[in-house]
Amino acid sequence: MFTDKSRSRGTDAPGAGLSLEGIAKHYGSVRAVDDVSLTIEPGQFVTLLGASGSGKTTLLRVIAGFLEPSAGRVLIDGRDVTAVPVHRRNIGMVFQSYALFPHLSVARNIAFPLAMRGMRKAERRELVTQALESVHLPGYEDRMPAQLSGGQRQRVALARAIVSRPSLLLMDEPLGALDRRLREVLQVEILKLSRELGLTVVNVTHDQEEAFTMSDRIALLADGKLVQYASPEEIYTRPVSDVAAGFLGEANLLRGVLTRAADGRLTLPAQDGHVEIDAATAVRSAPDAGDEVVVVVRPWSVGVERLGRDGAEPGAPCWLRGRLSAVIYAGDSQKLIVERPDGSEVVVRRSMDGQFEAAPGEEVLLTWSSRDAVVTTAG
Amino acid sequence: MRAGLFVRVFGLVFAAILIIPTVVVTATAFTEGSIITFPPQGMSWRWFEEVLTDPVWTGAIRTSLTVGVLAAVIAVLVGTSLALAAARSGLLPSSLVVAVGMTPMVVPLVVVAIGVYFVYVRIGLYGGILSLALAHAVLGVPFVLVNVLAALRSLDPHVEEAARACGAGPVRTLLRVTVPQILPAALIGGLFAFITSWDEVVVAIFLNTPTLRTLPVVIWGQVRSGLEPSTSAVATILTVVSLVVFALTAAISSRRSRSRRVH
Ligand SMILES: Nc1ncnc2c1ncn2[C@@H]1O[C@H](COP(=O)(O)OP(=O)(O)O)[C@@H](O)[C@H]1O
Ligand SMILES: [Mg+2]
Repeated sequence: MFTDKSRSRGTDAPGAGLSLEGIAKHYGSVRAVDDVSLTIEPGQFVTLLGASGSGKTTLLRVIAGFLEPSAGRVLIDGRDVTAVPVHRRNIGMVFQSYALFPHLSVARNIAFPLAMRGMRKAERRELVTQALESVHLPGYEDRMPAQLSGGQRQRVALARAIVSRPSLLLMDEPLGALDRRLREVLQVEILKLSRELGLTVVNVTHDQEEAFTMSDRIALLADGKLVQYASPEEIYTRPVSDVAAGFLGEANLLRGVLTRAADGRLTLPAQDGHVEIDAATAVRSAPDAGDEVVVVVRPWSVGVERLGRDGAEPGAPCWLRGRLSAVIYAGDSQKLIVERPDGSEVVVRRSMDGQFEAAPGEEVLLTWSSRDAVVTTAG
Repeated sequence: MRAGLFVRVFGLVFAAILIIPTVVVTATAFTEGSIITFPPQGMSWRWFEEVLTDPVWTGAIRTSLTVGVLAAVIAVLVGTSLALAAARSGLLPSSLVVAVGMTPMVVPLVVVAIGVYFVYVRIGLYGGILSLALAHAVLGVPFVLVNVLAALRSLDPHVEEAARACGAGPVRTLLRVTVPQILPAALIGGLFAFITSWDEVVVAIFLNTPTLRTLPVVIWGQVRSGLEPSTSAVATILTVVSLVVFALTAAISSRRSRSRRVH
C-alpha cells in the first residue's frame, strides 16, 4: 500500500543515484576522508564499513551536506549538490542517538518533514499512519518520545526519515545503541522497507556482519581512504588487500616474499611448513618471485589432523605445523586456535558435525588447498 | 563524625541567621498593636487590610509587578538571543558574548545604577516605567543567559541536524526545534529575572520619581520615616510573591527533568 501510493503520486522516482568524485575532508593535518570516489546506483543499499576513526561519519556528513568537503564533488542524480544546503537535498537521515524532537509527539515528529515540504494537515495524517504501520508501530501517534523504548524510538526515527520519500536515506550506525537481538530484527526490517520503497541507502557501520547481511555493496574505508568498493561476496572472496581481508570475515594472513622452487612453483617461505601459491588466486597482477604478498586463508578452508610422531614431511602442497592452544565452541561452529612456532596464531573453523577431537597442547597439522587461498598485497 | 557534626551545627546556625529576620518581620506584620513589637501582640490581618487599601502601597505594588514582568520579558528575549548567538551562530566568539552578558552580575549595583541614571538623563529616558524595566532587565539577563546556555549545551546536536535533514532551514530549525527545547530554561531564567527586579532597590531608587516608585523604594522611604507594622505587612507580601515565583521555577525544572527521563 505504501509503495502503491508512491507510484501513484508519481512525482518522485524511488531512490536517486549518488556519485562521489574525489571527496576529501581535512582537519589540519588529519585526513578524515582522503580522495574517495564511488558511484551508487538508484535503489542500492550501500554500507560504509570501517574501523572507528576510518572516516565513515565524516563521509556520510559530506553526503548529507553537514560538512563541506575540502575537495571533490557530490552528485545526486547527476546534479552537483556540493554547494546545496542540507535542507534542500531531499534526504532522510537516521542517527545512532535517534534524535527525535523531544517536545513533539510521535505523529508530529513523523509529520515534520511533510510540514516542511508544505503538505496540508489532512494529507499528512494519512502518510503518518502509513509510515507508522510500515515500521510496525501502528497506533503510537500520540506518544511522546520519552515514553518509547530505544528500539521504538529508532523505528519512529526511521518512519520520519522515509515518510517524505527522500531520494537518499542516510544512516549513521542506526542500530549501534540497540542490543544484539533487536539489531538483527531491525536489520531485516530496514532492508525490507528500503527495498519496498526502492530507496537508495547509505548506511554506516563498523559491524561487518551487519554490512554483510544488509548491503548490495560495501565501501570499505581505512584511514579515510576507500580500500575496496564491491559486493560483500567479492570483498570476501577477492579482498584487494590484507586490510580488506581482515575486515570482512575471519582470516589467517600469511605474509612474506615469494620464492620460486626448482620445479617452477611459487612458494611462501614458512617455518615448520610449506605454502604453495596458485597464481590464479591472485587478486591483483600475476605474482612473481620477489613479490611481497599476503596469503589469505579462511578458517573454514583449513583441514586439521593430529601430527604423527614419525616427523616425516607431509606431502600436501600447503601445510603448517602448530600446537593446539584453544578449542572454543562458538554457537554453531567449533573454533580451533593453533599456535605456530613463531608465536603467530592460525584459526580453524569446523562445523559441529565435523568436530575435531583433541585437547589443547597437542601438536597438529594444518592443510589446505592452494586454490582456496587468496594472494593479495599489504594495504 | 565530628566534622559531620560541625557541618550540621554550622548549617543550622547559618540557616537560622538567614531565616530568623524573615520570620521576625513576618510575625510583626500580624500584630494587633500599632507599633512594631516582637513577639507581636495578638494576631490580626489589620495591617494587611490597611496596606491593600492604601493607594500609595497598591500603586507601588502595581508598579513593581509591571516593572518586574516587563523586565523579565525583556531579559528572556535578550538573554535567550545572547545564548543562541554564543552557542549556535558562530559569528561571535561564545566567550565574548557570555562575558558581555554576565557583566551586570559582576559590576557593583551602585555603578550600574549611576551609569544607567546618567545615560537616561542624557538621552531623555529618565522617569518612564519602561526605562526602569529596561535597567532591571539588564540585571536579569545573566540568569536567562546562564540557564539557556546550559540547556543548549545539554541538547543533542543531532536533533537540530535531524530537523535540517527533514527539510527545515536554519531559521525554522531554530524556531521549531531549538527554541521549544530551551523554553523551560528560558522561563526559569525569566522568573529569576522577575525576582531580581521585584526586590531590587538601588537602581530603583536612582530612577525613582514621585510617580514611579516600586515597592522596595516605598518601603525604604517608610523605614527612614519610622517603622510601622504596615511596612512589615508589605515586606511579608514581598516575600510571599518571591517564594511563589521561586516555587514556580522549582516546579518547571522538576517537570523538565521528568520529561527528559530516558528509559
Ligand atoms: N571536527 C573534527 N576535527 C578534527 N578531526 C576530526 C573531526 N571530525 C573527525 N575528525 C577525525 O577524522 C577521523 C575520522 O572520523 P570519523 O569520520 O568520525 O570516523 P568514524 O565515523 O569512521 O569513526 C578521525 O581520526 C577523527 O578524529
Ligand atoms: Mg562514526
